[in-house]
Amino acid sequence: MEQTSWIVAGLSAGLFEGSVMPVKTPGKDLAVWRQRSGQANAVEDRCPHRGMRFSMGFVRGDQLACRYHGWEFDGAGVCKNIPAHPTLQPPKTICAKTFVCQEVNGFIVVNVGDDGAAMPAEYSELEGENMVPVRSVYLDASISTVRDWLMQAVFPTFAAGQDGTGTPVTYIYGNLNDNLVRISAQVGATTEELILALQALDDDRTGVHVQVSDMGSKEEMPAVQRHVARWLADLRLRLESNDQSQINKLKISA
Amino acid sequence: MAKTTDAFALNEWLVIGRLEDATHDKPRVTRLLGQDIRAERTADGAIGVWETDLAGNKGRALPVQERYGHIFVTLGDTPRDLLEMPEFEEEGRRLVTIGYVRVKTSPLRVVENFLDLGHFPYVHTNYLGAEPQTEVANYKAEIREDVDEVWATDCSFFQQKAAKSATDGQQSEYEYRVTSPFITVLYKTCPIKPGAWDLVGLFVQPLDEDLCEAHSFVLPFDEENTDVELRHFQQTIFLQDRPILENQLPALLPLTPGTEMPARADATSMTYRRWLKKKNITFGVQKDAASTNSRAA
Amino acid sequence: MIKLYDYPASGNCYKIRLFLNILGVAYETVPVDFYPGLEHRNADFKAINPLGQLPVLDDDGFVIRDAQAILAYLASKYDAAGTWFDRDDPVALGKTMMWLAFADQITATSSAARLHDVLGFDLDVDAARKGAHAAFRILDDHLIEQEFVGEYWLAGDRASIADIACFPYVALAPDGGINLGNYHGIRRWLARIKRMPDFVEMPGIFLEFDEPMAAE
Ligand SMILES: N[C@@H](CCC(=O)N[C@@H](CS)C(=O)NCC(=O)O)C(=O)O
Ligand code: FES
Ligand SMILES: [Fe+2]
Repeated sequence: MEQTSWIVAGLSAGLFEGSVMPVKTPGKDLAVWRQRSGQANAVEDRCPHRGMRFSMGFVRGDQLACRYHGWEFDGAGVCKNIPAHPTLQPPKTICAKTFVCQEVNGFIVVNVGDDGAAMPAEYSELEGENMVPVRSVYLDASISTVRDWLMQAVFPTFAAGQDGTGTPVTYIYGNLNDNLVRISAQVGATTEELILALQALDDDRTGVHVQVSDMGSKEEMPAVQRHVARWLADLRLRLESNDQSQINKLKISA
Repeated sequence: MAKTTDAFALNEWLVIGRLEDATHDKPRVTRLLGQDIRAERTADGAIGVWETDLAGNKGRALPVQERYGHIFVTLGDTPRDLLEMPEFEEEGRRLVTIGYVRVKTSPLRVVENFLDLGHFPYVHTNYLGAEPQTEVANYKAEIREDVDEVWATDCSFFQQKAAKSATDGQQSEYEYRVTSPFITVLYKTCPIKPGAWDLVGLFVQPLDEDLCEAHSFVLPFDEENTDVELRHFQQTIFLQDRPILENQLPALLPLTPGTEMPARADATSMTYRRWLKKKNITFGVQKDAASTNSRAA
Repeated sequence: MIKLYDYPASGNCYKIRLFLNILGVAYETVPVDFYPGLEHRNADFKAINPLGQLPVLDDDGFVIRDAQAILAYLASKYDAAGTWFDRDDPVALGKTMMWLAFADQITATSSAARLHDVLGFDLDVDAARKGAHAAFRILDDHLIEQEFVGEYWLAGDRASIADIACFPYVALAPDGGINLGNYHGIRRWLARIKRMPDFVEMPGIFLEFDEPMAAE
C-alpha cells in the first residue's frame, strides 16, 4: 500500500455549519471549519498575524475569523478583513496556509502534504455506499497497532443482539488502505458493515472515525448507532486496560 | 530549565510577588529566569530573597527592592535601574495590587499583548471594546533613546467600559511606556476626573522562557470602587487574555521578519520587537524559525 | 433584591450569574476577594458559609449555598414555565439530579487543575487533570448518544439546570491544561449552550459572534 499524504480528519456530521474544530496530525495542527454555505475547509492552526490558533476562532458567513484581532480569511486562506483598519483592502500577501479538503460519503478528507497528490481512489470508491455516521473515538496506541487490532476485532452485530438466537456470524476484514478498515459481519442473509477511518494524531495516539451501514428504518438507526458507539467505548476501555485477557475477548482468533 | 545565561535578562530588576506574598511563616517559593528562589520576611522586617537548590536549600542572597507594592530582585551584578514612576507620589491616587496570573507562554508575548489595542473588541468584548468600533487610529510609537524606553502616544480607542468606574462608553486616550522587556505601564483617560490619567502597570515575572506570572497593579483616581472591585475588573481583563496567550504558536516570541505579519495597528509591537532585537535579548525569543507550528502538548 | 456573593473568575459563581440572566431576574453582587485575598477563608465569610466556599445566594434573607442547590432553588422560584427543572416527571427529575451531582465531580477535577495552572494553588495537578478527563469522557459519550436520538441536552430534549451546572468547568478546562480537542460531543454541546438566548460569558469563555459585521 502506498504511503499517502491524505488523512481522514473527522466525520462530516460532526462539523456544524459555521463551526471550527482542531485536528491534530503528526507534525502539524490543523483547524477544520465549515462555511455557512456548507463547504468544509482545512487551514494550518495558526493565524499569520500573531500566531493565534484558528481553532479558537469563529466562523462568519463563509469566512473564518481569528479570535485575537478578528482578521477574517476565506476558504482559500486569503485575508479579507482586518477590523483594526476597516477601510483597508488587506494586502494579498496576507494569507493562511490551507490544505485541500474534500468530503466523501461522510468523511472529511484532507491532504496534509504539499505534494498536490490526487485523492487515493479508495476514498472516492466509498462514494455511493449507504453509511450512517456513528462517532470518533481516540485510542492511546499507534495507528499500526490500532489497525492490527481492528483487523481481527469481533464486532457484535446489531442483528445478533436483536434476535439473540446465536446465528453464526462470518467476518470479513478489508484493509482498503493504510487508513481505512472495513469490517463486514454476515449474519444469515444480512450484512452489517463498519467503515473505520484511522487518523494518527502522533506516534502513539490514533483517532478512529466510524460509520455503519444504513440497514434499517429511520426509527431503527439511532439504536444501531448507539449499539456501535457502545461497542467502540467498550473496545477503548479494554485496550486501555492493558489486561490481555480482557483484550483477547475482542479478537476473532482468540 | 537551568538559570538563563542571557546577560540582558539577568541584569534586569524583576518582580517576584507582592510585598504581602512573602511573610515569615509563609515564604514565597518560586522561580526566576530558570533559577529557583525563595523570598521571606526576615527578623529585621525586610524581605530577603535567596537562590535555592533542588532540595530547597538557600544559596546566594539576592539584592532586593521593595517598591510599588511589589518585591523586585535581580540575578545580575550590574542591573539596569528599576523604572521610576513619579505618579506614585501624586495626591489622590490609590495603589491596588491585583495579584498574578500564571501563563504558559513567553513573558515577551504577555508584554506585547498589553501593548495591543486591536484585540479589545474580540478578547475584551464589551469591556475594552466592541464591534463595530474596531478601528485603531494612527498613533505614534518610538524608541526614546535618551531614556532607553519604548513609548506609544496619541493612542485612542472607543470603549464600552473603560475602567471599573465607567458607566457609559467613552473614547479613551492611551499612552504606553515600556521600560524593560518585562515591565510596562499604561496611562489612560480617567473616566471620572477630566484631564487626569489612570495608571495600569504590568510586571511580568519570567519563570522560564515559556512560563511566566503576570503581576499587575492599578493606580487610579477612584473614590467610587472598593479595592476588591478594582481587582476583579483587572483580573477579568487578564483572564480574558490568558487563553489567547496560551494558544499563540510558537510560545516564544518570533523576531525573525516574515514569521508573523503585522498591520499598522501593531506599531507598538513592532517597535517593542525592534527594541528587543537591539538589546540582543534571547530569553523568551524563538530560536529556530522551523519550530513555528509546535508547542508542548 | 437577590444578593450573590461573587467572584468573577469562579465558574461556580458564573453558573448562577448565567442562570439569573437567562431568567431575567435582577440581582446585585457582593464581590468577595477570593484571590489574592482568600477572603472566603476568613471568619467573616465563614459566618455566611461555614464551608468557606463560593457561591452563596441571599434572597431576601434566605441564605443558600452550593451552586447546584442555588440553581434548583432559583428554577423552582423564578422559572414560571418550569422548563429548566422538571420536578413533575420522575424520570426527568432523576436525570437532572444525576447530572447536577456530576457537576461537583467536574469542579473537583477541572476547577482544581485551573486553580493550579492560573493562580498557582498547590495541589496535585496531574491527578486533577486525569480525573477531569475521566469525567469528560463520560459526559462526551452521553452527549453523543443523546445526539443519536435528537436530544441535544444532558437531561433530555431541552436545556435544564443540569446543563448550566456542568457547563462552566467544562468550558474552562483548557485553562487548567486540559485539552478538549477530542471530545466532539462536548464541543458541539458547548456551542449549543453559547447560542442560547441571554447567554452571558465569563473571563476564559468566549462569546460566539455568529452574525457578520454590519456592512459599512
Ligand atoms: N459544591 C460547591 C463547590 C463550590 C466551590 O468549589 N467553590 C469554589 C469557588 S469556584 C470555592 O469557593 N472554593 C474554595 C474552597 O473550596 O475552599 C458548589 O457547587 O457550590
Ligand atoms: S493573531 Fe489572528 S488576527 Fe491577530
Ligand atoms: Fe488584553
